[in-house]
Amino acid sequence: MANTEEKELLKVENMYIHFKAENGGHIQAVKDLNLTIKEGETLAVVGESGCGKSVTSLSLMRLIPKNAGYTEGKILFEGKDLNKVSEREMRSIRGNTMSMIFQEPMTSLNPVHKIGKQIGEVIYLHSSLSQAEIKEKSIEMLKKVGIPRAEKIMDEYPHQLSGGMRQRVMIAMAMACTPKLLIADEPTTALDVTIQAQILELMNELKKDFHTAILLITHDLGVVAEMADRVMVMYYGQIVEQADVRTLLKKPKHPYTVGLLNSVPDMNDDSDKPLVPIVGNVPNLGVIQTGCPFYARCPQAFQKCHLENPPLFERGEQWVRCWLYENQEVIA
Amino acid sequence: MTDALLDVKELKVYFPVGNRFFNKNSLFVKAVDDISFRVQKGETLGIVGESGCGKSTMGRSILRLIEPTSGSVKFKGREVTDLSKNELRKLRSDIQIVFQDPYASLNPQLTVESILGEALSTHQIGQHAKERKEMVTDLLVNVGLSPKHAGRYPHEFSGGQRQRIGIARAIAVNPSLIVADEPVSALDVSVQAQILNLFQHLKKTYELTYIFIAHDLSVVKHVSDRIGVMYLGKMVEQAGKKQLFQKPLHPYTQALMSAIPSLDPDMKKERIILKGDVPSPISPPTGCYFNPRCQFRMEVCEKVKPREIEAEPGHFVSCHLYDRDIHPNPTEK
Repeated sequence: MANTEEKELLKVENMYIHFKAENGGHIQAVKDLNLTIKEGETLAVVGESGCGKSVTSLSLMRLIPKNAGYTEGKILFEGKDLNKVSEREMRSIRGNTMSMIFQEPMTSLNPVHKIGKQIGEVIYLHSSLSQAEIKEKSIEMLKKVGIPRAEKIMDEYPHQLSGGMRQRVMIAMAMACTPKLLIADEPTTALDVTIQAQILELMNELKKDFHTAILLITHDLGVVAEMADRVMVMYYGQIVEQADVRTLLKKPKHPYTVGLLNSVPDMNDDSDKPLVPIVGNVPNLGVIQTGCPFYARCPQAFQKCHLENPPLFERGEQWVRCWLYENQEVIA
Repeated sequence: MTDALLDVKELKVYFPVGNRFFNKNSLFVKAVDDISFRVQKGETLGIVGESGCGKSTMGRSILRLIEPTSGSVKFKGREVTDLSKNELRKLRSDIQIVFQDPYASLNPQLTVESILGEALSTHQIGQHAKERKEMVTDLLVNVGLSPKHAGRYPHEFSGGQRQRIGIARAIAVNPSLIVADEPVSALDVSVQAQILNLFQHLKKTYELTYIFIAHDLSVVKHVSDRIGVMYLGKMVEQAGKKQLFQKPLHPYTQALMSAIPSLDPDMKKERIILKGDVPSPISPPTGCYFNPRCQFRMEVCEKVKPREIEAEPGHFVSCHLYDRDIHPNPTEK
């Protein structure tokens, strides 16, 4: 559990992400997003495909191409507004104090460069070490992420490594400059469970050693339970619920969170009772609708839900975007 | 034992690798290596394993979508591997498959009605077009779609709806066995639960038998009666669902189960973290294939392949730990 007295590392205020649509209009992929991450804390962002969780992470790193869309709002990282800094300054932040690992370790490494060169590049760009020192540091990082025969792997190409190994290399690259914030976008989704267990353990160890904050983007609630201090649930580009991990998994408030948890087969349950799925499908972002975006799938919807999109009702550390909790002072 | 619906014995599927023209003694990927199991009528056999363990290849070789290298597959008492092309086509109306990727397994140029109608006409079900049309309507309703969807193309549907169409196509020809190859792994969790419930519902309505292949243990646990665990082309453990989950015997099964993150943040379990990766199936380790990663490795494991042992009634495991000839006290680990 993160210490509550820790400093705020990242604070996002009223972030909107717009994409250009085919018909000349705009699609709002993320709407009015607020989040904070304290130093050394793990915040998990959960949601299904198309809910805006990956776009959020890309936008924090300013990796959305200018001609594709734009981001509004404040992204305060160590007090600096990343939405305003120059590209040059942004480059000195990326990979240095803030770095990212991606879902697909197969495609996120450059296939034509050796592993040693790819790790060395990060260190070269953000430090003034000599070539020999860079090599030494690269090998040290590879060893730290549990790669056997690190010296040899420096001279190998990504295709010679397995998926789990590549993800370790990605993590070594991301951690090479001991970032304050690591953004991990579905870091274990492409991996098998036994390899996933290895990688999650590694991330937790590195977090302890370097006191790195992690923004973990995932769809897997099991991974959330394992890793997170706090959890944010997204649906249709909005935060629908936020709470600490225990509260969220044990006493979920928003009907969508409840639905998600009921949809997952429970390993500890030996009865054969059927799952309780959420009816229908995730709505298309391009379709503009009134009311709560979850209205059509919600078992507890009433008339107000159809007319007006609820605001986030904040009760201390817990946020819920649902009319059911409108008049409750404390979310019990 | 009563006659099983499907009886697979010593099934092997090998793929040659490298240049076969010049090199007669070429290497083989042993994708499925000596697997035997039975499926009784009305039961669901779950198959779990990690990527590359051969579970999909095994599923396909039962229908002879991939030709088995050797071994026997008996379906309703008939040897499948000896069937001629015509007989095989008839067999395929009795065994159907549902594929993993609903985006790739439906022809984008056909409407849903033609996709389902094609299955019906190929197997000569229904007398005339009008009757088939009615059957298509019924099928759509049975898989939770609406009759108005019949005229639409696959791209107009979401992943979950496409998987429903894939399932409708499989049940269209009244099969008795359905091989479901990772049918929910491409879907979001909320939709995944819908499809799993649909499988359960159809099993009752159509009296189906399933071979349910998946990498997700919690999904397999939810749908299966019995479960087989595969590792590197071998079936390392096979048991009833309750038996397997209450008392996993094979060290690999134990590691696999402990690797799954629990939904309860307070339940910090003792985790067995496996070292290293799955070895290459071209040059598997000698002896037991799992020995380089196994925490209970003994000397014999590096030399001798373990045989399948019935450790408890109905609970089969391929591990020297439970072999009385090798290990004097098999219950102790």
